[in-house]
Amino acid sequence: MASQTETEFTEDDLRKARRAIEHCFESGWTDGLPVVPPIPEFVDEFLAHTRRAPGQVLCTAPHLQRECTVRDAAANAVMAGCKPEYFQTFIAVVEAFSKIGPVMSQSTTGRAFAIVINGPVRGRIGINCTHNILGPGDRANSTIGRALRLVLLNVFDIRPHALDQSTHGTPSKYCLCFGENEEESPWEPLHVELGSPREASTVTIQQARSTLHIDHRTTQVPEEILYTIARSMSYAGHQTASASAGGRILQTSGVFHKNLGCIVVLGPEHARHISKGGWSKQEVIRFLFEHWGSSAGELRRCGGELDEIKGLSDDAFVPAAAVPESIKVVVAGANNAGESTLLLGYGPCAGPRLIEEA
Amino acid sequence: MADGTIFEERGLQAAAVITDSFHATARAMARVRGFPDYRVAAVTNPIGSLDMDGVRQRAREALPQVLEILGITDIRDVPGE
Repeated sequence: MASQTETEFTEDDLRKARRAIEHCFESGWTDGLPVVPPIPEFVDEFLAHTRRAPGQVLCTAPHLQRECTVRDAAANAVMAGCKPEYFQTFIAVVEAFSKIGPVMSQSTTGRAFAIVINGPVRGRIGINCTHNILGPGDRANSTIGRALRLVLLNVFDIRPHALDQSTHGTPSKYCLCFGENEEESPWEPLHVELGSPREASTVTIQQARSTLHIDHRTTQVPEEILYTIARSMSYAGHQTASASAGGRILQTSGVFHKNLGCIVVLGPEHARHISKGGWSKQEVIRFLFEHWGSSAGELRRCGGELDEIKGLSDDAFVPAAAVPESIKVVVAGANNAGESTLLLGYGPCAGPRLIEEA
Repeated sequence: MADGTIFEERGLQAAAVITDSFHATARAMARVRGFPDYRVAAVTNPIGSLDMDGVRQRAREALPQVLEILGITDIRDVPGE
């Protein structure tokens, strides 16, 4: 790599590039990592990949009196390190995000936004759907996810120590973008389940406060795999967080209750075992829904003695969600182990949003 | 905070109450909303884990600040009282 760099650039070129990167830091335009300086020429390269007008508004935050235009999105996609050909996908990301709303980015719970890409665009721009989808190393995943965070920082000015009130945040706030492994899924992909044509390329977004790893390689019995996942979804700190929202978690029609969300990133091996047992995706979601929750006794031990569970016996089951639609199952990752990952959060998912052709 | 400034914009007096962990956010939001000198009532953090006695104590902390922000020097000045 060094020799190639030496042939293309003089040391003076690289010194200037470093100064430009430092200038971006000093201007407060970064997420703490270096960005590509967004000179107009670079931004115009991105704008050439869409028919949208540069001034078109993609997302608004009325309470902050700010909006994100196509040009703003392009500038932040440049800074994140995107390639110009990712830009149509990123426009769909920002538009899908607008349905969730920037206000949700200010919470003390430090919400990330899980971006799920479906359809042929995955192959066209190199979205990773298999090994290490939630980790580093793939440019499209990393930079598209990062570009959304840069929009929140630079366009909406939702920054730590000010409008971002996160107690801890999560590393997923840097980027959380992956493709569904449709080719190794036994079921219809997410965008088809949600009503899009299979040949469409789409973006779906869900708030995610954390990622939780599930490792279970010693069974092929669907019920055992799914019960393990459901109990993992029901970890105490998520249940008590929901209960602290005025106790509404325990109602059957409360806003928070309905809006609990979880993306189950099912590893292809787990998905195959479950499918071989004759389970449809809808049956998987129904099982997880029916086992997502806590006993009244467990909630009491955690300090969740709320009016809604008074009178219930300790072993009475208290469901965590009101509707199965709170759960999205996405088959993704490498087909190499009995592993899955949960993306747990609040709020409905946004999308699927169609990715336009240029 | 945003709600308080929106009320003010619409001609309704308002007093925003925060816990003292949120001064930085409140200042940032006030700036964004065009009220850089917006005053807020601040009570001791936390609130969510308090019992009712604790909540009453926070209310006692908040009340004189809220009255001052609203310019009420005598409780009998409150409309409707």
